[in-house]
Amino acid sequence: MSEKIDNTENSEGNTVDKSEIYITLSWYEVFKSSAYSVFITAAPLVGLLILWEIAAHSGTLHPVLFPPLETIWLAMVKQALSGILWLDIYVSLYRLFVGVVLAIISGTILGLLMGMNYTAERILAPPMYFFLAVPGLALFPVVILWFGLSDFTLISVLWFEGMITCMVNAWTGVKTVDRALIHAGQAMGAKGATLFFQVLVPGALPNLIAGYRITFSRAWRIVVTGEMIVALEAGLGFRIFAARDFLAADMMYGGIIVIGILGVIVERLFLRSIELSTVQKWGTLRE
Amino acid sequence: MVNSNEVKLSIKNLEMVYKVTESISRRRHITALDDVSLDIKSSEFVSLLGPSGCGKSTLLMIAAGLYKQTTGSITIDGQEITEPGFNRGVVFQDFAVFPWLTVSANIRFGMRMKGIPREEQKKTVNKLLELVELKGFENIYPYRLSGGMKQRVGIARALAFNPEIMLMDEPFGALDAQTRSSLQRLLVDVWMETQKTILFVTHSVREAAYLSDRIVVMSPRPGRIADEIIVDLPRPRSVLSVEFLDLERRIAESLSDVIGQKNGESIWVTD
Repeated sequence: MSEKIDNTENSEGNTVDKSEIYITLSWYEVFKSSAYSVFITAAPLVGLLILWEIAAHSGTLHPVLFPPLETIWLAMVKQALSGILWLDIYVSLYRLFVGVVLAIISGTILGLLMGMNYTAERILAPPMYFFLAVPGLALFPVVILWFGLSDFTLISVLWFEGMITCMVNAWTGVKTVDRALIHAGQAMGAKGATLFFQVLVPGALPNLIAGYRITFSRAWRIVVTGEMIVALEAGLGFRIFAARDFLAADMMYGGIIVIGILGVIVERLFLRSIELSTVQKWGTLRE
Repeated sequence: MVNSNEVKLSIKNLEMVYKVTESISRRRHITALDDVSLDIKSSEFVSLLGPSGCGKSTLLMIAAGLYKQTTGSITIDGQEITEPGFNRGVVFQDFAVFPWLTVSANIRFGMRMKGIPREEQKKTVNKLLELVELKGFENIYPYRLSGGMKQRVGIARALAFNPEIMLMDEPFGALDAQTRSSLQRLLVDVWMETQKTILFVTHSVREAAYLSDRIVVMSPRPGRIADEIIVDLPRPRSVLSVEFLDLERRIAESLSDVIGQKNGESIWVTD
């Protein structure tokens, strides 16, 4: 801005601060800036789809292995119309949410406890590190022996894996809360549960949310692969695996696309909204 | 500006030894405070001045009830300090403003803990915002504030639940020179208005001279009281008056004796 800023007095004789002003953008400027961000987000994706389409129609690739997009689309529409797709989505999301909610509750509590209490830390850290190293999938055969081929098996593995992930992040979260903030809370009379909920938890929140994000993505993997191993009669992972028997590549690709889209929606809907209303609002997370 | 002669904060033979485990068979004992005794009167402004590592912050943290001394006693109105309490407000060097609370919620924090009714909280917040010149910023989150403004929040927050004693740990140490001097003036105003007893930690000669009724000079490793200087210049003090410059020289000489230098020159330059 080349205009010189001059603070002037208003009718009441108070100085009006002109160093901070609001500028309304014209519709063209709004269009230009949002069009650019839409373009850079969408361009690579669209490019990839076009490449796929060209490759699928070129005749050099086997149509069963690389079906064109319209075939995949039709397969999914057919599944949607028959209701199978919605059932699969419902069943998979149900497993995901039950497992993740249990994982977040138990993992957060244990992790925060570890961060606060020396004895708890000493007791819980070794098994936590151990199971951090063991992929959740490796637990499936054992858990199947215990609980059989059931939803319960899948959700237990999911819960356990998610809990361990949440624990690590809640623990580091508490450990990295600025000591001065804890001191400030204590100096103003906060102790015990009050100190915990009003200082330690909000202080650890950036780490907690990061942990939930990883938990969701790990859980999603366990749901999909678990459905393949545990061979339940519905679910997105089950459908992809079952499609193998019919050599129905279009269904497999369609399933993968649905999983990806659902994963993004879940992330945006739950984690991003928590983030926007907390750490981003507080400025602890950069925009 | 001392109004009464009653002792508010009394420190007797205070000793603080930090035990640091260096390895499984080796433990280092560091004596941070050695036999420190100090009486602070009601409404008195006392500065603890000394080089870094002299234990002045440790002393303040013990007074706050955040650290536990090894031996000796520290009392307020004859009551032994064992934990933090609402009779003391603490202001920290790195502000320690809660980033997840707005300016007014930060100021309200201590009042909420003390169980002060909401209506009264609101009134106090408005009064304090005026006092520390933060009107119009009440609903802003701290990340949008400058360092000086954050420390204004820190001061208002410590005053909010009306403690008798303010404990300030190098509160202006992290600020630039201009902001620091404006906050020093503000603190004098606040002190004149509220008549709090203030224990103020600093390593700046000029800051101590400008603010205090009494300056306690501490020596490093182990921390001991080396000298006490009583200031009877009227406030607000002019930093350019002959009396003030004399006072600064007197303090700087005392401090350079402590550090073991021939003259106070290096202290003048670095201040």
